[in-house]
Amino acid sequence: MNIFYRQLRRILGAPFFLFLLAAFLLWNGFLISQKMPMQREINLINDIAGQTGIHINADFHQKFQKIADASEADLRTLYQAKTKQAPADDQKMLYALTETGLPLTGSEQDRVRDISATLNLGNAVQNHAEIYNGFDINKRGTYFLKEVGADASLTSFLKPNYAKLQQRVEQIRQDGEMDTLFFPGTTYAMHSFLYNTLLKSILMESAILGVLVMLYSVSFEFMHGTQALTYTTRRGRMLTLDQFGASLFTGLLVPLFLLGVTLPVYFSKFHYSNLWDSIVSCGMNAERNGMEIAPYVTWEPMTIRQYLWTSIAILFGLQVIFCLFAFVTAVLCRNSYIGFLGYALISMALLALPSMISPRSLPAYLTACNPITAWSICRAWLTQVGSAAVYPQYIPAILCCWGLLSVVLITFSLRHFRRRDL
Amino acid sequence: MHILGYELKKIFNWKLLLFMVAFTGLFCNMFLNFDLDYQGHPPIEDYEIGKIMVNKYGPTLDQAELQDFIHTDYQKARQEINSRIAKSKAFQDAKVSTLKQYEVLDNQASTTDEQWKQKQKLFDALYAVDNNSSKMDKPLPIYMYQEMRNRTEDFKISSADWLKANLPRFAPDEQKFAKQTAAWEDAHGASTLPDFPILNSWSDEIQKYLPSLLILNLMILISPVLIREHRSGVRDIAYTCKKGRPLLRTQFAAAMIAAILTELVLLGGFLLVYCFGAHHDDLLFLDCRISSIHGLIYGCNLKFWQFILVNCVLMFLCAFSFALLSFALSRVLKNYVAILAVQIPVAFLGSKFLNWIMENALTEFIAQPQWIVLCVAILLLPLLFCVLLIHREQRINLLD
Repeated sequence: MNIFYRQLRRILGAPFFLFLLAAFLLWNGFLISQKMPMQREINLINDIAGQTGIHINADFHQKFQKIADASEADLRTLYQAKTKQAPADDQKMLYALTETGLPLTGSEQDRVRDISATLNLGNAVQNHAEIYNGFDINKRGTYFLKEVGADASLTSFLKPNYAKLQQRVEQIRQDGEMDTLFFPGTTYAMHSFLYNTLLKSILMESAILGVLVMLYSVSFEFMHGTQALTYTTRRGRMLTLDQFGASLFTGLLVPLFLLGVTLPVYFSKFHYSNLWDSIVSCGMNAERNGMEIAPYVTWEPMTIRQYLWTSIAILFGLQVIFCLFAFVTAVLCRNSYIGFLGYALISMALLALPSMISPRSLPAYLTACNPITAWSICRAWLTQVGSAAVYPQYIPAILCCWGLLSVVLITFSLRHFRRRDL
Repeated sequence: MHILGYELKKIFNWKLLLFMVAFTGLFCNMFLNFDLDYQGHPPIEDYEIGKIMVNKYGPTLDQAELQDFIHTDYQKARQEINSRIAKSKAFQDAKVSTLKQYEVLDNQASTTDEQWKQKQKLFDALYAVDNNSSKMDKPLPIYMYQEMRNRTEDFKISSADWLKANLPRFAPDEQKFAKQTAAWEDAHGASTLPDFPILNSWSDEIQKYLPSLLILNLMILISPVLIREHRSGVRDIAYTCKKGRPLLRTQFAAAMIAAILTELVLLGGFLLVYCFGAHHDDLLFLDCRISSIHGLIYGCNLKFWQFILVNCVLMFLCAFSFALLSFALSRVLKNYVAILAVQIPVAFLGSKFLNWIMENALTEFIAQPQWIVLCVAILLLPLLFCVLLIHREQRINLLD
C-alpha cells in the first residue's frame, strides 16, 4: 500500500501532469466561453420552464401565453419609444429594433434579447410536434440502405434496428415524451454542445492524460535507468502492478477532476435547474444533423438528468479501456515516446478503418464498434441520429469486448514482462 | 562534417520514419482527400464551364468572348434542354414544348394546388432524368444550362454596377481590394477561374490540414533528438571531447537540415499527388487570377500558380518555426513524457494558428499589416529561443 501511495504521489506531483491538467481546464473554459453569447437566452428559457413547468399541455400554454403577452407588450412599448411609430407585426418590430441600427442602451438590448428569445421559444413550442410528424425511421432507413446499395447481411442487421427505433418513435409520440420543454435545438444546439463538444473534449483530454500517466509511471524505471536496482528488490517485477494501480487510479481521477470542474462551471453559466426532468427525445431537442433536422431518439425513455449521468458513466468506462490499453503499450514498449506514437497511430487507424471499408457491407459497422469511434460520436451514445443507426448494444458491446480484449492483452504482456531479460 | 552526418543519422531513426510514413498515409486518408472533390451539383458544372472557358478563351474573358460563349456553348446547352423537354411525356401532357415556356410557367405564382402539383411534376421530370446517382460525378445538362445562365448573367454586369451594389458589404479595409480587382477586370477581362479549385481544395482542405501534417511530422521527428541523448548520458562524455560544447550547434544544424528535408519531401509529395492525381485538371487554371469580382476577392491579385506557391512557402516557413520550437523544447525538457505533454497542446494550438495565418494571409493581413508583424514576431520567437539556448550552452556551469 505504501508503494502504491508513493507511486501515486510521484504521478500527481509530476510537472507534466499538472501542466496538462491546467491546459485542459483552460481549453474547456474557452469552449464554454464560446457559448456565452447565448447565456442570457438559455437562462431565460430555464426561468420560463420554472414558471410554466416542463410538460407542454393546456396548463403550460395558458401560463406561457401570459409570459408571451407580457413580452409582446414590452416589445410594443420599446418599439414605440424608440421609433415613435405605431406598433406593427412582432417580427417587423424586432427587425426594426435589431437590424436597422437604432441606438439601444445596454438594458434595452437585453430587453430585446429577452423578447426575441421568448417569442422564438413560443414558435418552437408551437412547432415542437412537427418534427415527429411523418418521422418514419423505417422509411428513412430503407432509403439509406438503397442509397448505399446495402448487401443482405447489412440489411438484415440494420432493419430490425430501424423497426425497433420506429417502435420507440411511436412510444415517444404516445407517451408524451415529445411534449416536454427544452432549449430549442435548432437555435441553441445545447445537446450537441454539451455532449459533442464538451464531453467529447473531456474524454479526449482524459484519454491523453491517462495514457501519458500510464506510460510515465510504468516506464519510470527504464526512463531513469533505475530498473536494475528496482528489479532486484523483494517487490521486483511486481512493482509494475503497483504502478498500474496508481496510474489507473489517476487515470480515473483525471475525468473526475475535469468533469468536477468543467460541468459545475458550465451549469452555473447555463442553468438547467428547471429542465432536468425534460426528456431527451422531446421535439424541442431536435437538432441539425447534416442536411436534415432530426430528434434524438433514445433507445429507452431518458430524462436530461439520466442521460447526463449515463453518459458520464460511459465516459468512465471508455477511460478505463484507454488506460488498460496504455498499460499494455507501456509494458510492451520500453520507449514511452515510441509507445505513445504507436498508441496514437493505432487509434487513428481505428477511427479511419470504418470509412475505408465499403459501407454496403456489415464489416463497416462492426469495425466501428471500437472505443475511438465511440469517442467520435459522443452525442449519439444512447440515441439514434441519422439513418446509419448505431445499434442499442453498441456501447455495452464496446465496453465488454474491448474490456475483455484489454484484460487478455494485459495478462499476455505481464507474462511477457515477467520473463523478459532485463 | 562527420558529426553532422552522424547527427542526421540519429534523427532519421528508422522507427520514427516508419511511423511518419504510416501517420502521413492515415492523415491524408482522413483529412486530405485526393479524390475528385467536385462532387454534386452545381460544383461539377461550374468547374466544367471554367474548363470550357479557359480552353477557348484563356485565363480572362472579355465582353466579345462572352458574347461568343453565349452564342455557342450557352445556346448549345439550351438546345439540349429543349430537345429533352420535347421528348418528355410530362411536358407534352402539360403542353410545354420549350424551355422558355417552362420558365414562364415556373415564374408564375401557383394559385391552386393543382397548379403547384403540375409545376412539381414538370420540375421532377426535368431533374429526375438527371438525378441518377450513378451520374453524380458527371456534368448534367440541366445544371450545365443553369450554371451557364448564372455565369453569363454574372459576367454581363459591369464593374461599376457591381461595385455600386456590393462595395458596402466589404469591410472598409477591404474595399480597396474590391476596387483594385474591379479595375483590373475592366482593363483585362474577367477571370475564368471557377470558385471550386480554391474553395473546395485549398480553403476547405489543403490550407486547413496540410500545415497540421507538416507540423506534426516535424514535431515527431525533432522532439526526441536531444532527449535521447540526455537519457543515454552521452552528453557528459561529449563535453569532454574536443568538439565539446559547440556540439549543440552541430545538432541544431542537423535538426534544421532534417526539418527542411522532411518539409521538402512532404510538400513535394503533396504537389506531385496534386498535379498528377485527381486535381490534375486544376492545372488548367494555373494562369487565371484568383481575385475576381465574380468569385473571391483577395488582397493581391495573384495568378493561381502564384497562389499555390505563396501557400507552400508560407506553410514551409511556419512549419519550420515549429521545428525550431521542437528543438528548443527537446533541449529544455528531460524526458519523453514531458515533451509529449508539452507538444500536444503546442501542436493543437500551432495547427489552429497556422490555419488562421493561411486563411487570412492574402486578405486581412494585407489590409492590416500589423497582423503580419505579429505573426512574424511569433514565428521568430522559437529562433530566438534556440539562439539563446546555444549561447547559454557556451557558458553553462557543467560541474553543478
